[in-house]
Amino acid sequence: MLELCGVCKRYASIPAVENVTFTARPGEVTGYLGANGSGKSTTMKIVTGLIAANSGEVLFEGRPVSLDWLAFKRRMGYVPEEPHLYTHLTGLEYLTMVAQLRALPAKPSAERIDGLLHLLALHGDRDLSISSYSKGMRQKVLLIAALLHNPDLILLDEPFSGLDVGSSLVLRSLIQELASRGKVILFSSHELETVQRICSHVVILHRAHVVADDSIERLQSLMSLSSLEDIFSQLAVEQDSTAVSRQIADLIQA
Amino acid sequence: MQPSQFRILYRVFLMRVVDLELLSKDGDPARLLGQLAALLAGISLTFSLPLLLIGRVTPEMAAVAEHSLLALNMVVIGLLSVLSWDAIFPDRRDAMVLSPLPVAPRTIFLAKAAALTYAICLSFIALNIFTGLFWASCFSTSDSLLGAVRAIAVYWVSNALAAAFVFTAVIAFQGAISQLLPRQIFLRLSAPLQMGAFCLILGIYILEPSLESTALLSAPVNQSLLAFLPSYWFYALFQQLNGAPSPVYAPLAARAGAALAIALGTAAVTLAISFLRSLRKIAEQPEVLPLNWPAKRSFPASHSLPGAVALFCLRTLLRSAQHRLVVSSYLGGGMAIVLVYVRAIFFQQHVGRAAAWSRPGTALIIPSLLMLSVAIAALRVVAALPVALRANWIFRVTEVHPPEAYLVAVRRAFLLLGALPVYVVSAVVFLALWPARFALEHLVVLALLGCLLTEFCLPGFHKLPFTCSYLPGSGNLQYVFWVVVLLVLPFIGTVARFELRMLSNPAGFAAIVAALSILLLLARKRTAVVLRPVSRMLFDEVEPHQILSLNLNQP
Repeated sequence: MLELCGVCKRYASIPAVENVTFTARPGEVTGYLGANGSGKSTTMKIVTGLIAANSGEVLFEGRPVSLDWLAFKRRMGYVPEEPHLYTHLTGLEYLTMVAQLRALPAKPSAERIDGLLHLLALHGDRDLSISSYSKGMRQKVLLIAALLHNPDLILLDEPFSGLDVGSSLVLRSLIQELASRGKVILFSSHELETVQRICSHVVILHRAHVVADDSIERLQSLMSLSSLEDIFSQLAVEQDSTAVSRQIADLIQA
Repeated sequence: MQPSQFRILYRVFLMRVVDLELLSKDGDPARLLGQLAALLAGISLTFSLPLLLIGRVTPEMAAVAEHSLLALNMVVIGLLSVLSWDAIFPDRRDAMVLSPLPVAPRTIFLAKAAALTYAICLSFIALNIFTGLFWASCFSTSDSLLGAVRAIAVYWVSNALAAAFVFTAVIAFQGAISQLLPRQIFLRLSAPLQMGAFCLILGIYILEPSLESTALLSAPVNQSLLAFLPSYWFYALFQQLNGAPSPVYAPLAARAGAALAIALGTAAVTLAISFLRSLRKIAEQPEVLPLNWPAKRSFPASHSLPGAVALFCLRTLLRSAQHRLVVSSYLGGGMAIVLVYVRAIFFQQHVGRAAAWSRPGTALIIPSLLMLSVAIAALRVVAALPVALRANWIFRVTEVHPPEAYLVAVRRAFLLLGALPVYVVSAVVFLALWPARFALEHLVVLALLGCLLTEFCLPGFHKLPFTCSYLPGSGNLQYVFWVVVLLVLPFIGTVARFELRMLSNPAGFAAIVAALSILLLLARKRTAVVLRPVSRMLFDEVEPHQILSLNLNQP
């Protein structure tokens, strides 16, 4: 179980996340939603240890992760929002390096990499430089790197970004399959339809604060709204999208 | 061409003329060029000091000095042109960023050419600021003021033409190869070619013989050699323009003119083709592709953290142009100094040369010590420069080992990639040339020194190579250059002489090995002590605090 208790992160005096508290349980996919700049990726980075929170605590299986970061990182897999990779390496070299960095045994990890490359249709391109990969191919590399060590906690920040339809369908099923096998999955996305399909529980962030933390069904009944999109629009969207789009079109034609 | 586009691009390209490692703080190109100009003006002053001390010079001394200054100009401008290897031709970044914008290729080309020419001209002026006045006035063929003015003018013109020749020859060489070879093969060969050009320019400068007199210049035995020594072509041009009566200068001066015309023409044509034809092709094709070696599958022998770090370092050094450039510069500089030391043996007669190579002496010890130091220093410097900084998150989230494990990995990577290549070459050279006992003893000393120098690089380097952000301007090149020239080189000479004395008797060898072993143990202990308070590896270099609190308000 992943718990965030009162996590705050400020840049100067501007809050990126403010008193964020929620729990992601094993066996369920926790959707983490919010508009651009609401603090989703900041939260993800705090959980991974990439940035430090100003206050609050992150607990995994009841223990603060800060007590033993190394042990926590061994059990965590992370797909970041942006596919920043070492593009001078090939896909295979990159994944082998990740396995080496995680001190995974050589032969099983090589077989695992090979299998995952096959399953994600990347095997034929494994010896090409990542600089020649499309965004979707890079996303697949990130996904394999995150799953290589069979993590108990999986953090997915916009994992569908750049993926083709086929790969998106595979990933959607994979997330559900991993959750059913007891993994803790925190999943951030702007694709509300996908979130509604695969997440049992959502946390909605608005202007650095958690404004909703419940199952989708309960939110629907509480707010008397039929879809997650309607719930999200009511909680986290402040502008009239039709009016804004009209203003944009007017402005570029002026 | 829009002037505003040109101005913006000119400024951007000026930033890229010289490598990031040299950049001054805040990435200010004016400060960077100022540092470079100060360094070159310092060299100019150093060359002028002997003249200021002795006052007048004989015609023979003047001839040698004029040729030396011409050769110096050619080597400095040549090396700067080689260091700016990637600055003039369009690259993938230009193609991807500028192609979609309404910017004409002509504007990009002119902005690049203007930026590079400005940097080269500034360097040329700085390099001649003192010599072009003090020495040039001594090259006058008459004692009149007009003669001195003419000599100064001729000095500047002939040196500028010589510099222009080297500059355009480097561009022509690169441009011709880039157009003749497929782009991917050119990119793969680009780094070795750059290093080759670097070594060639330095090698010619250091090894070219002194042939300034008319007798030597006209001697039939020297004609084939003079055909490959451009500094003498421009020396002859200087003499002709300065009114020297000897007919011996005419053919060499004509060769200087022809060579300059060919270099200029080839550079112009290849640049025009590159900007008008290749820009789109560059955007369509991927950059350097990894080699598909048959043995690649078995390459990562060690599936461990040190293996991962060493392979990552090796691949980065092989595939990142920026990192290769910095390493090439260091190794090229080291090679130049090595050539100075072995030059004496090269120019000995055949009979004496064999004996000189096989006799244990500092002429070979100094190069081995120097190259070992240079290789380790180069790796330490280049390892601080990140490759794809934003991709370093993978090292952060996979940081599942304690810092001590990373220290071991970094130490091994430094030893493998910095010390080992020099050590292997030295072992081959010493075992082939020296008596076995002396060779083995020196190799033991070299191994210990390699470990010791590597250890000196580690305290404070709580990073994985190529992954941590970098604060530019910390290189302080203008000071480091003089520290190396005035302190490090004499120190290496002293160490080499001391080692040679100790190697001549077993007790001395035992003493030197014992001393180095103790030093190594102490250095390792120090590294461990410095690392002890570190709980996590460093991925973000932080600016040192500008304001220090004196705590005066404290009771």
